[in-house]
Amino acid sequence: MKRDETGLIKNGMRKSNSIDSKVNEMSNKVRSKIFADKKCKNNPGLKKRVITKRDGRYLIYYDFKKSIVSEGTKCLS
Amino acid sequence: MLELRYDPIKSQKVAYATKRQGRTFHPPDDYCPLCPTKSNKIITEIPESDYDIVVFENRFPTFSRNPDKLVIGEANNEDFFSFSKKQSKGICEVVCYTPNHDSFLEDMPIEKISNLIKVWQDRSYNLGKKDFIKYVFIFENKGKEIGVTLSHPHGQIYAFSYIPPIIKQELKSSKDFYDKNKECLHCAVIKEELKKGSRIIIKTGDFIAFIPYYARWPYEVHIYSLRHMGNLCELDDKEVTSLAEVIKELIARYNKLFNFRMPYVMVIHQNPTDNKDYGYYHFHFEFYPPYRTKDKFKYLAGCELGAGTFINDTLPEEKAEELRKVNIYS
Repeated sequence: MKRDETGLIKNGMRKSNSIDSKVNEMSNKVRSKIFADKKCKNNPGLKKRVITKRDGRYLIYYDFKKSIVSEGTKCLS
Repeated sequence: MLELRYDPIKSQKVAYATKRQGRTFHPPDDYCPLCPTKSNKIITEIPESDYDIVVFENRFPTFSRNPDKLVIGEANNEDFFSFSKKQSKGICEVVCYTPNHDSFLEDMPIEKISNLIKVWQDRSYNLGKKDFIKYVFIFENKGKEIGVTLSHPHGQIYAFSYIPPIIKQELKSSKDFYDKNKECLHCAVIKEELKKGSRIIIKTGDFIAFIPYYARWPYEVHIYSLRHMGNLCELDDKEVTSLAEVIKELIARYNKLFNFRMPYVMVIHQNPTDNKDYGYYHFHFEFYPPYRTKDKFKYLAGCELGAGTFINDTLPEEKAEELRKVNIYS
């Protein structure tokens, strides 16, 4: 699909060939999965650092790769 | 003082958090507590000079990991209400989306919004696995009109020690429908919205955003995954990206509708984390912008607050068409 510079996919009502089939299959999928065990799982790929502040509260830095183009103006710079 | 009081008349809890009266209120930009610390003179909540995404415990929480001990009643049970008091146990977190003070969620690249969704997944998992947490509620209040006191782009997470009443009601409706029809209620709603089409704003291979048939707010939009799942954590990487695209596009449409940043409340409804089976539930986002026209608010007044019935002066089909027609690329 085409994207503009904002990263949005053009056309709000965009169509996907897979939608109809997904919808048609939805009921069956729901029936078969509805009581399946779908627990949350930890994401081991996430990089995070946890620190404890002076007052005992925790703070977590989530570190993603820095290649993302920054947006807007930096505060206090 | 933090405590939960039970209202026996309305059968619901009310959270008291008196310390919040003193919370930071519209500080000057140079004193924003959610910006990274750039100088020794102004130490913010975030000690490092830069960050990607940061989560920390709210300094002015509604619930606490270590809540105040309660003074239960008077001698001889004279205090009529002592039975209805509970410790306000839980966790309140702040999620800082970006170090950029003047930015907004919708300004962030898709990759960064995807990263935020991964953080939400991580918090859902790690808060939800705590014994005393029964529900992880992720939300964002945006705009002064909503009552936001810090303009820095951020959201919040309330990890409840109980299942909040609106979620409880949704769970009950979903279970009742499933028991009767052996089908997910939310999937049935999605199918109906897809069939009708007139209330849909955005449709992708993985998600749908629409103003529901029963919308309470004029521009209320719900985002659902087409695949049945009860929790954010179940999204795979492709779906995370797809969801990021839908969120970005929806907010862009809101902003373009009246040509200003549309304030909103954004909430994520997912299944509880009390180890019970909620396979009949379907996670989703709900957005509630307060405007009904460019210069008029939808207020919650007598009928909404006193009788519990929303009055919507608009038709979802018409408002959906307005949002659909917005040209976000001009």
